Amino acid sequence: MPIKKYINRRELIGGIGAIAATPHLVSAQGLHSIHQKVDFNDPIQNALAYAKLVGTSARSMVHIYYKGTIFGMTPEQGVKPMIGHTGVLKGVWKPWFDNSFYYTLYDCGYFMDLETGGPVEEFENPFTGEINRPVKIIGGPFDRVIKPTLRPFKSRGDELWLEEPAYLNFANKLDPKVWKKASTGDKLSFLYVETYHGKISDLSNPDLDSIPMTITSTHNTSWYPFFLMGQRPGGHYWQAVGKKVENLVEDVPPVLINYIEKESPGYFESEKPWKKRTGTFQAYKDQREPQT
Amino acid sequence: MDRRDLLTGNYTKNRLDLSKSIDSTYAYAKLVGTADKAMVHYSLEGTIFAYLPGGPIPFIGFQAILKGVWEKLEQDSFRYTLFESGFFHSLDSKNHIEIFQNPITKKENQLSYIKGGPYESIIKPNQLDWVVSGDDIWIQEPKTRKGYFGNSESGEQKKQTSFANVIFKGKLSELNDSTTIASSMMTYNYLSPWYPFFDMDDVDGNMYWQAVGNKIQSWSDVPETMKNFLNQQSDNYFESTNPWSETTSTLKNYRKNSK
Repeated sequence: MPIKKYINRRELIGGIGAIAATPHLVSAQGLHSIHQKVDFNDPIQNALAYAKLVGTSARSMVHIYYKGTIFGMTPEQGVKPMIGHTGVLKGVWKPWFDNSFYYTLYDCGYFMDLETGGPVEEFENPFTGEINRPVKIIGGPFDRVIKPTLRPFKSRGDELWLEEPAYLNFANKLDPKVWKKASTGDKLSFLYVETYHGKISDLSNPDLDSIPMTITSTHNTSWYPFFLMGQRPGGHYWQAVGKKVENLVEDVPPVLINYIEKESPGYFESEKPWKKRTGTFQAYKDQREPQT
Repeated sequence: MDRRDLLTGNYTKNRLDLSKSIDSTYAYAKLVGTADKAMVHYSLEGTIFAYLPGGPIPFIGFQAILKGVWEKLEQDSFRYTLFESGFFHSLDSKNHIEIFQNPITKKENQLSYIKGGPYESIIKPNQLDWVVSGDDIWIQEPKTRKGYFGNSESGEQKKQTSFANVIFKGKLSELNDSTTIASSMMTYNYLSPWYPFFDMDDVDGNMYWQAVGNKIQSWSDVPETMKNFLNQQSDNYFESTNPWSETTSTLKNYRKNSK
């Protein structure tokens, strides 16, 4: 069967809404549903649990809404909120070989005014007092394979969660000799910790390919380029909370839906909203000139 | 009447209007603690990462039980008193350790306990910065603190900055029902200078504490390793509304015990 490239809004909302409606029905009629215990010590079931919680075990799309704050920290000036960020992640999932799952991730959103929640084109940096102009939040496509392995799911009662840390150290695309204010140095270091939270009762329901999930995301990172912090000591703490979108209109603020549909028409419906891989550092390098 | 009310025999009160200070504060008490006179416990499990100039690495694990003793006051306010008790463990086991083979300094560290409180707070009707998405609701509480993180509280040391951010997540439908307590997931992040018992004065970098847990209903929800730890402490921590009276913290407790 050929891959369906586009779905319309009605299918999108209906399809995602079904994720939410089903567990409620099952919960209310618990005696009539047949739940299967998930064995997290079985690598195959573990990978299936991951796919259902974070994305879907079916060939389908999952959207995750998020909203958070970016803080800055310096030894001299302490911690200050700098700007907000909000967006919708898109995961395009499919079952893969050998009990694995394959997904492609996209990100679209905006840097946000902390007071109004609306998109900002410029803001005053509370550390430098300068006016900064953020780039747009746009990322992906990033591909990942979820293989059978033992991930440390934690559970308590019906609550289930998984913390997924990632430590990244890599060369900066922005040479600090050229990008004197935008580059923090030759190397960048990031610590990402994503926590996915759901219900065991949903996960053990064989009728569900994708279960309701909330995410807490914390990132400790080097300075991002558009803050123009140069090689000042310190860095960012990014925090965001979000959820798997069950109903686009009820879960995602209209201002964000409108922004995304304007910036990337068809983002919600398309399985491939754009082809060329991009990210914040690359976008900055492509769009801006070095400042001294 | 929703399903939770059917099960609990309660009838739904009027929906909360979170733009109103009284409702907002009531929702906060119900999510974070309780809107009644009662004790609330969170069981947290986490990891401390060492953030070094060359990048972050996982360093040591920890578990903690947070206790909140809540009561409703007049004029729609609430008072709560917080305690914390916990321990460190290696990354490959959840058992409490007192001696730690520090992977960065290659030295042996004599660890302390996690111990804090009583910290008392009063919350008065106030507008809070809730985020609502469908039936999900969350709130974050960032706090910055300046203080001394070394072996003593003053002397030659400079004050240093730490930063904690706590996020509570729950369900709007539970906040709207007529019970006085709602389920809650907590994420705890804490960026701090090195704690003195890790003996890292000569190492550039800092610590990043990351933990997740939930509001628990009873002793049976407490992890076995934590039960063992609390039983060894013999301070009746879980049952008592006032397990100790002198205000302390992990740092203060360490300094006191290492004199």
